[in-house]
Amino acid sequence: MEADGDLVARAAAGDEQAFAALLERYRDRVFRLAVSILGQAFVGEAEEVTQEVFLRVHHALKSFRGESKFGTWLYRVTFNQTINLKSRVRFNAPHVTDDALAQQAAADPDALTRLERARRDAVVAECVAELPEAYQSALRLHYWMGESIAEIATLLDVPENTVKSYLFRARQLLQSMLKDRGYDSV
Amino acid sequence: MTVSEPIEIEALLRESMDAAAPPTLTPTFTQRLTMRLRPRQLSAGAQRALRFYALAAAVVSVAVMRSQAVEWNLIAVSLAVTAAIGAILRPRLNDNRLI
Repeated sequence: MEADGDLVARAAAGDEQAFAALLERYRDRVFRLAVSILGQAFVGEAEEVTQEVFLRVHHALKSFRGESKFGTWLYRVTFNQTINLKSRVRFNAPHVTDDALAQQAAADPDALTRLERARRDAVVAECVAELPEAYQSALRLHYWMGESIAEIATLLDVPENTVKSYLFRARQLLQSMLKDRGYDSV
Repeated sequence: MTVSEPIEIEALLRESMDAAAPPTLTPTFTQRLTMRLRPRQLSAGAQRALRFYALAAAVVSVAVMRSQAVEWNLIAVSLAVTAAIGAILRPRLNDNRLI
């Protein structure tokens, strides 16, 4: 497999095949990072961010001096781009009414359990959205997308111990937030 | 289920967040991005029309300036300045692959 540095040099010189190879290699990870920051309800927006990131990177390849790894630079661009979007646009998860939840659950034989679970998941998602950005991202990457600690550390450009600390603090905060919402027992 | 024990919050998160399938990019993602990356080029016909328009504009400008008794030196300078601006902007327009 060709090294990133070689692909970047070729892509900067106008080789579209080299850029396509970089895109193929990184697009899913960039998308996962974006969606981990925006949340489960904003997959479409995360895809738009992914497009913008690659457009920016394509434009800026000539100015990339290789002071950091290409992946590190790309993830930093993604993180900043996504945080910028999130700060400009207020992302509110679509509100799901109890009626809608009840209708959804009605088709299921164990409707009550489904309804309870749907309510609980909505509360968990609401609490996660109130956590600091890095904690949200780490939580979603780990529990939703099943990423390893090492992979999350790469994506967030922090040491592995920091990721573990993010997850630990996030769980502690969530626990107290859920208690405040009356979820001592679910 | 309680959420007061660390192990339980762990299990709750796994169960709650794991319920939705991890997202994936739509199949047309690369195709759409490639289209946005491709340089915007005018068709051959449009390029011919644009050249004809520029030439006609220059001819009409010269005719109007002459009808107003503007001297040839001044006309030459104004055309040269316009041509120079065009020459400077052209590479930038050709390189405008983004946005």
